Amino acid sequence: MGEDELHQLVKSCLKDDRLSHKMLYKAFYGFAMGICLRYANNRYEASEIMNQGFFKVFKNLAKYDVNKPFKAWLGRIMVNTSIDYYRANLKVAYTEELDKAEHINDTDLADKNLSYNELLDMISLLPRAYRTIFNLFAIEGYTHEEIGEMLNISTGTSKSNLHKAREKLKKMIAESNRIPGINQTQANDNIVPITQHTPPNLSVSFVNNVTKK
Amino acid sequence: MKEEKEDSIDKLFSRGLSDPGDNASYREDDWDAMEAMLDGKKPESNVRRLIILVSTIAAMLLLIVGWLYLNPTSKPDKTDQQLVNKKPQAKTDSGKYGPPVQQLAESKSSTLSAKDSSAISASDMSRKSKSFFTLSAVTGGRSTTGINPHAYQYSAINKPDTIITGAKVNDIAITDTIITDKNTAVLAGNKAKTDTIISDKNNSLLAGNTTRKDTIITENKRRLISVVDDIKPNKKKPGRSNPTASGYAYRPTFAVSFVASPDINSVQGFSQNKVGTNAGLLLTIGVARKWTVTTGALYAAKPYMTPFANYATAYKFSTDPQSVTANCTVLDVPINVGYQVYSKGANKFSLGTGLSSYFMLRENYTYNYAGGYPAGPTSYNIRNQNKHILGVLNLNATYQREISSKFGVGVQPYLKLPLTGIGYGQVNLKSAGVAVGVTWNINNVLKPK
Repeated sequence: MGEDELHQLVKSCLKDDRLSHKMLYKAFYGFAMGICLRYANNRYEASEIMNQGFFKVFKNLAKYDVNKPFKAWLGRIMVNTSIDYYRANLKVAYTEELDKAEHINDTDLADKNLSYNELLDMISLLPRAYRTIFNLFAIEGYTHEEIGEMLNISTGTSKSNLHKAREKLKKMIAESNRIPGINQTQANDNIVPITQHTPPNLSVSFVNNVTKK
Repeated sequence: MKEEKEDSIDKLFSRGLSDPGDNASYREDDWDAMEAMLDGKKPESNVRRLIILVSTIAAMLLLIVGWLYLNPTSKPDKTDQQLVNKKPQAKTDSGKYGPPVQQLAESKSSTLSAKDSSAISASDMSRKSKSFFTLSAVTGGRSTTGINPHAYQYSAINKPDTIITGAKVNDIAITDTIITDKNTAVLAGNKAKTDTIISDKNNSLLAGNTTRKDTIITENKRRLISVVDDIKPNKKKPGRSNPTASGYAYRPTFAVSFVASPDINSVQGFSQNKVGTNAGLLLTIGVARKWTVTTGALYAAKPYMTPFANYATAYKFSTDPQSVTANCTVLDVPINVGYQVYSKGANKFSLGTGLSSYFMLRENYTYNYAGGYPAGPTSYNIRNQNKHILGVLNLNATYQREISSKFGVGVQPYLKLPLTGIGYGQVNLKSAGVAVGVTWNINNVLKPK
């Protein structure tokens, strides 16, 4: 989407035109979903976070500075929304004590050729607190000080959680090496993974069931 | 060294998760949820709002119906019936110059007569023809006749169950005012509180009337007034919209119809049109002898096609589509008024008009581009987004034939003209069709009042 086209679309959205909303939503759906998937436990949760993010985008579109890149603005909103979601679910967020972590031998991880799905599966298996900090630090590029401020935790907690997240991920990668294609091993904790990435077909088709028989 | 290793895992995930590919492909369900959020409500709340609207309409109609029932002016007066048997004996007037009239009455007849030594009018009890002076009473209203403007005034409320007889003034229990002069005899029977008969000197009043035939004889300066009830005694018609020809208090009637029709939709004239379907239930309430109010709900599929010029959108297409093909489903809630212009036997013909509210349940728009290559969005789907309260004018004509006292069939050509832009595209969506339906007259199962 060209810059002019984007600005035109933003202007139409400001007139509260629903079709323009949808076009903007569709245009940045993949980008926004990509961010939210990293913070969410599953696709449904990601959709929920993303829609909350887009809601903020549409409601605050007047505040958007057209001279700045829209994608960056939208991405920041998605990350912030993910953090809000993390905070809202803090009570049920899994936290693991540091001493349970086990050290994994370092390997040349950068050379690993893991698919998007495999990586996403691993990251979604992390406890929410670890996942959030890992995302913010390793992928978004925030510092521990910034993360501490965003999540209202100390810098030390941020560092230690990041460390734990990395250790867990390394372990998962090692597991996936031992049993190629399987990376769903839990990292010695009681988290029940939700790794469903395709929505279940909730509509029961009686016709199909009958014909199959 | 350790930092480098840790950095490598960060890079692995950062790079690997940078492109979600098909994992983040667009899903329409997500937009539906987004749209519900933007509307500030769940989609179900539209249904709730609709229920409230329909309930409000129903409540208003009930109020109207209740008012019609309770309206005291339209209630039959029981005192009228007390008069009925006062003069059960029937006699025949001999005609002109005869002896003073003996007021005669059959049940269900209304007679106004004058007793005078010099003026006599005869009444014929035959029920075959109406008097020349007959004025049919409007339901629940009054009828007034006066041949001589300076002579007499008479008004009466007539009801078919009422016999108004007046052999003598004294016979009439509720005759309000009778003023007689010398040589003038007035005999009047009436039931209305304001009935007044005034006779001048040398004037004679005699009104003999029956429901079928009156004979009036006048002499010299005598004036005569005859007021005749157009009464059809003891024959209650079972039809719902023809309760009385004269004196019955009008009882609201109810009928439920199921209608279905092909629906021709067009935005620009009817040259470029598409055919959809309509189906639904309608409640018709007869509020007066010839007037009905109809409401209900119709589910309509309205496909149409329009040049893009007729389609309004704030979205700026980089290349405007050539045309828009739409497929909308609409809940049509009409409030129509009907007037019966013809009724004979089982056949009825009426004309109606009113307003419809459109609740756009689903709007699917497909944008057609020149050359077939889409240079912009190809479709747009929304649900429960637009509603147009009383935004469509209805015009219709209905032919109805009763197949029994309870059931009837009908055909209704109709035209729906928008008073506002319809749907997201604010198009001038006209619809026309011929609805066919089956009607159930509920009233027949109710006890008569």
